[in-house]
Amino acid sequence: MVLILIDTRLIARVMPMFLSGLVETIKISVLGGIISLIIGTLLGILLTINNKVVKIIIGVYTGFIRSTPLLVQLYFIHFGLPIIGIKLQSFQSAVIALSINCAAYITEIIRGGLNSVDKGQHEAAKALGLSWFQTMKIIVLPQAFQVALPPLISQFSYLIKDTSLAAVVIVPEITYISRKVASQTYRPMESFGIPTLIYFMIFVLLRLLSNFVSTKGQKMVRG
Amino acid sequence: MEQITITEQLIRLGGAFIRNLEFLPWVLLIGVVFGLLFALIRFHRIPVLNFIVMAFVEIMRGAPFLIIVFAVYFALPYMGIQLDAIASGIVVLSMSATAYLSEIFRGGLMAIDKGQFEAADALGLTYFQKLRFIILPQMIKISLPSMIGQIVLTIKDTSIVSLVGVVEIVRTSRQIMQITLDPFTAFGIVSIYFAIVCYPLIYFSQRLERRLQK
Amino acid sequence: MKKIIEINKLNKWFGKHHVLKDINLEVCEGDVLVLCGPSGAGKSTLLRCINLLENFQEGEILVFDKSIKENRANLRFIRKSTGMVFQHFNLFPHLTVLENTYMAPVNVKKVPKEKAIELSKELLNKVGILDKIDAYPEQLSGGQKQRVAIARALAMEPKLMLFDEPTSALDPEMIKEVLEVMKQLALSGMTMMIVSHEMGFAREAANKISFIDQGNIVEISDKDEFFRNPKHERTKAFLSKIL
Repeated sequence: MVLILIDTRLIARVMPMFLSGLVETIKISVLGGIISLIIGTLLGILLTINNKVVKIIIGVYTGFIRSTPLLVQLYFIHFGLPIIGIKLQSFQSAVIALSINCAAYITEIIRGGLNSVDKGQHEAAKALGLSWFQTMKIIVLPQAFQVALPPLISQFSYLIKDTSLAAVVIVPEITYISRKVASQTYRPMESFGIPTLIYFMIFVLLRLLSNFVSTKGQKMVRG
Repeated sequence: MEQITITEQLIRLGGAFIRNLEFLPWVLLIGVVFGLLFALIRFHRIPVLNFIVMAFVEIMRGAPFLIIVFAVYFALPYMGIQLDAIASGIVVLSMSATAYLSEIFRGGLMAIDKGQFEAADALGLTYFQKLRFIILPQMIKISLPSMIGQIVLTIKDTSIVSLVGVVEIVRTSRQIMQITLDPFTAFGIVSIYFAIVCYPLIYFSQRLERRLQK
Repeated sequence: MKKIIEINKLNKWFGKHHVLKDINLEVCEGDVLVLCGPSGAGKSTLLRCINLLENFQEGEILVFDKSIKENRANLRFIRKSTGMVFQHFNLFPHLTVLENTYMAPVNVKKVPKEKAIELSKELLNKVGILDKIDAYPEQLSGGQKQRVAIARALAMEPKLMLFDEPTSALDPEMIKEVLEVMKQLALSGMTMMIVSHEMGFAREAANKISFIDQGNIVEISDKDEFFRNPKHERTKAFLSKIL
């Protein structure tokens, strides 16, 4: 059980590698997060229009994404796009696959947020003469986002976890680095312990943020 | 580029999918049993054990599934434990399912009105009677939609054990794709197999949730 | 006498349920009409048809001489000139009292913000809530919320005000402050149509009262006539139960 002892000099040596992995992870997460937020919000708003065709199409999309593994979706994008003529770097196909995946969940979250706004709000806005667009922009969306924020943050932490799959297409994020370090140093505790700790800290931070936001938000959505 | 007919792909991938599904009985059994045990430990705040369970749950939930799979598969041999790919798969899937289910059950337990426990005690029921007749039935009812959601996640996670060498549907589809050079058919069939199993579960869970809210 | 609202042969069904039956009604400028009747009679539904928050299948509604279903321009005009106060206030929770009041004039009528704020402050003062203009709705009592709701509707300078059971969701001690505001409004000459159970208020402030039961206008008359000489049996029965 000698290998349970942690070698601090080794840690100092491999930290830079992990930090560069962390940067990659953050890049993928932020990019993926922003893209999927935009797509998911648009689709969520589209769902409020009472059009059956729109609802079915979006429903098929979200149903498919939620019923199939992210790994398979990633393979689809990574191996499929070159065949139809779109050549992408691994980083890009990882971001695309993650965005498409995450957007499906965000669509549901936004839909829930929009539904949570009391119908009476719509009526008051209508009675005051506001257009649909004004009602959405000034009254409905701000409230919907406040309700949606905690689930959105937790979805973002799922996204960060999912970035680990980018290792599969050789993107040098944390998980990929951890395997590299493990195979170079033969020291599993440090190789996998350090990244686990890094991920763990990210999620603790996100959870604190989520708690802070949801207590602030609860004050606003009453009355 | 060699041709593997669609029919043959369907058969090979279907057979490989059974490998994925074979994980489920063990994983879910362990997950439910230990998940419940851990949930009760945390709910009753049993000293020492509570902390250990909490640490376990936090780590399993905090790290990406893939890195845990790698850690178990690559690190365990150094500690003298030799596990083949399938065994590592079962171990990691079970641990992950246990962690998430314990949180789901804990939430269910906390959602039960305190008065229920008090009434059961006042009636003189033993702990196990209380659990069996009053608490568990209610907890299961509350937790069912999330439980089904977790089952779906576990099914999807079986695809990840392909990355440490388990020959299941995703690995098989990659092998096929390398021969046919057609990712769409291969992965399309994989998606359909997963969707056939997962979509009804998701749909059922959503309907359950709506019914329970009434 | 200028006709503000004219309803002809209005019929509405909720699925198979015939909720409004052959309604004919006129409201003239300055009228304060109270609609009363048992729960489920269709009073609120009728009121909400007037600014088309509820749709209807047959008949015609003219407001300010414009047919409400004819085109979008008519509907927009009518909603701009009509104010509505709801049973459950429907204030915008993420905006302050002042913002709730001026946001419609600024966004719908394109009034310059400073002017809108000035007008809003005046109105909020009139309803007695000037000290709370920077508060959020959740910090207010029910009576305060409803007064803000009235100010919000009045900020659009409407020629017609609709009230849908404005005091039904209030604790008894707060009903009076809201009715006071409504009384002042009536005295100032505003055309008002009110669904309410507050017959005391009707006695003091209304000039016409209508009794609605099971989707029909059973009776409609001037206030004094209504209370002294109710013509129909059902009206008499209703009045005897609540007075």
